[in-house]
Amino acid sequence: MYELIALALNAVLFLGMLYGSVQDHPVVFAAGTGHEGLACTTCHHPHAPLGSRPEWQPGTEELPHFPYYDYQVGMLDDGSRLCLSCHDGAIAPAISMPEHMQITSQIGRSVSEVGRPKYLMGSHPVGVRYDARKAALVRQPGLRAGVEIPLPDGRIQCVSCHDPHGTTGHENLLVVSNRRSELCLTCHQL
Amino acid sequence: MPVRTRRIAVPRAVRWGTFASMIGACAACAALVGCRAAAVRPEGGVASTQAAAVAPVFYPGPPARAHIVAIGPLTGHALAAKPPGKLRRAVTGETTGPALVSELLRPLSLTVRAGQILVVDVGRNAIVQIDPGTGEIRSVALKGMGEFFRPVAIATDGQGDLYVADAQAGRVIAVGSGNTVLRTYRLGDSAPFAPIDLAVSAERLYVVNRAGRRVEIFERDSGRYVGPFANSGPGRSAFPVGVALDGEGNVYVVDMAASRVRVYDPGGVLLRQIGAPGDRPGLLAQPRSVAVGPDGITYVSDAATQIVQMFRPPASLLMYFGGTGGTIGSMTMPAKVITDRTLLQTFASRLPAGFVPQYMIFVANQFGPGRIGVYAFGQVPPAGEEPTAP
Ligand code: HEC
Ligand code: HEC
Ligand code: HEC
Ligand code: HEC
Repeated sequence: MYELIALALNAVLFLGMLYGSVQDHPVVFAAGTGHEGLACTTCHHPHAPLGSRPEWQPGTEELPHFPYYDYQVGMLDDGSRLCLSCHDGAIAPAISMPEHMQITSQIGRSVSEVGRPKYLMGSHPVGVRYDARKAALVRQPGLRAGVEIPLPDGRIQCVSCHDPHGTTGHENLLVVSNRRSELCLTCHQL
Repeated sequence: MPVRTRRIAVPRAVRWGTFASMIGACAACAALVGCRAAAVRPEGGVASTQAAAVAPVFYPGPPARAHIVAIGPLTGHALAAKPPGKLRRAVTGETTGPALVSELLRPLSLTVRAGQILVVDVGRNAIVQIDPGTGEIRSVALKGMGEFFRPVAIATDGQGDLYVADAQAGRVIAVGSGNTVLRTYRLGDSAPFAPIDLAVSAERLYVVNRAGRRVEIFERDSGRYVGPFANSGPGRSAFPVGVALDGEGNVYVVDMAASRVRVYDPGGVLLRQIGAPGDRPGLLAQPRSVAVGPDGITYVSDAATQIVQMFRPPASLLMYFGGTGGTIGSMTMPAKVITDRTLLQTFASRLPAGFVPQYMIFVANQFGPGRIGVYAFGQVPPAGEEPTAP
């Protein structure tokens, strides 16, 4: 079922970009999600076959591709960096890194909201490995709630807890509702 | 499948090594602000890893003639004075007032006023002032603004007044020379207003309103709300995140969703568009900010590709700089880009010999080893020609 939805979404995305219409007529998400109204290409940047040769960088070699959200070993992945690029306090609510968190140099530090007590969760490590051998963690994260928790490269990233498309319809774009700590309990055991 | 790249093709171990040596070098010399090491000349090539970390980086690289030189990040490590100690804090209660801060956490926006660089740091929830001459860095307390002040954008006008946007409280304030609040700009009670970027002309204040997904116009001196800017027709920007003005008063609006910069005349008529979605030179992925140099060159920062591209009117690509190579010119999720002529003298001694600068460029990076990237625009004169003073 999920594959079908993904396939359909992808077809929409692909066709949209094929006709160059996505960015001019934004595909609208289900109402009520924080990301509604964002065009797919705001997050899914297309790869372009062509570019223009810089006047001051003449040459004949093929024009380069710039990697998106380039990252280095052990850091937040490109998906998390995508989130942080908008969640800066201006474009969208800030998720701030603690003082010494430099996403290019450290991993596993907490994500916390600076100056906003509203963010109840306070902080949670992001970029850390999900090591299922640890007693406090569930052997197969997500099975309890019947959903799949994405763990890119085996690590906790923003998409582990958040579904950027809001397809599940849970509060705060969560992959699992956190009522009665349900989200937490899909990865942790008491 | 036309979704984002998940993996990168750059040799990571190599870059990580360069990067680690960079941190080591920075820790040793404390900072590049006012630090002589930043002026290491490029002649003779790169001799050691330490030199590699601080030697200027030229864009475009050889054999093309360089027009941009990166001279290292401007950070606050080089404190001229020590932050208030425990005792002093206990006695004076100096925790929220104007205090020396040691470094920037998450700078989003910046401007230059009276020889000082003013940075909005959302990580500290503060305006931080950096003296590029001494490297002194301190937070700025605005009189009459309490702790509920959440600055996200900052700009200066020709008279030295500051304009600061507070997205959460829905207001822009004008701040005079004594750091006193002169005026407040707001929309009507019911209209949603979340200002996230600003541009000031002699008569107008242009404000990007995230909540309304449009640009608003205010009368600069009276604070009166004029109305939305270019808010209808096919040329409308659906997801504006940045705004800037050129010398003729034309308005440049960054539309993040459309991956374009749109240029309007002051009346809101669309003149031209810069960029299209993509990951090649001349294309934009997640454009974040725009600036127009005194020569009319348009600078566009891109949070996804982490470069700044330079276009000349109408929309041709001149070159690009930044990227993620782990050098002092690299960028990490760049936000605001500005150009400035007033600090040329301050930085002149740190520019490499033979480079004739025309103006400075500053880039606020949200993360990474160097939060404020310092660049100069100019050129290396062809061999045989005498370099002229700026
Ligand atoms: C706010 C950013 C954002 C927007 C807007 C967005 N996506 Fe995504 N999308 C993502 C991220 C992040 C992933 C990767 C999820 C993961 O790794 O599990 C993704 C994954 C996908 C996938 C792969 C299947 C999957 O879940 O892994 C498809 C298909 C997709 N998106 C389609 C779309 C379409 C169609 C739209 C427009 C209606 C859209 N997306 C808009 C962020 C976004
Ligand atoms: C293109 C910019 C952009 C990107 C990229 C982006 N977001 Fe958002 N996000 C927004 C905006 C805009 C809002 C709504 C803010 C508002 O109106 O208060 C939002 C809201 C949210 C919310 C709050 C939803 C609610 O119901 O209140 C969450 C959670 C969130 N985003 C998570 C993410 C995650 C996780 C990612 C990365 C996969 C991401 N965002 C990427 C722009 C973005
Ligand atoms: C371990 C799970 C988890 C991870 C990982 C996580 N979040 Fe969240 N996030 C939550 C929960 C739970 C909430 C709801 C908190 C609440 O109710 O106050 C939330 C709330 C948010 C909000 C809404 C905050 C507001 O004030 O409206 C945003 C935006 C957000 N997260 C972004 C992110 C980003 C960006 C990342 C990655 C850097 C991330 N989250 C990683 C669990 C997570
Ligand atoms: C996607 C899986 C996942 C989810 C969902 C999740 N966690 Fe975690 N959590 C982890 C992992 C992995 C660690 C690191 C464990 C380790 O390596 O010791 C962790 C660590 C923690 C820690 C220890 C933090 C520290 O600094 O050492 C706390 C507390 C915590 N989680 C609370 C929560 C709460 C509360 C929630 C629900 C909002 C939650 N977690 C949801 C995976 C998850």
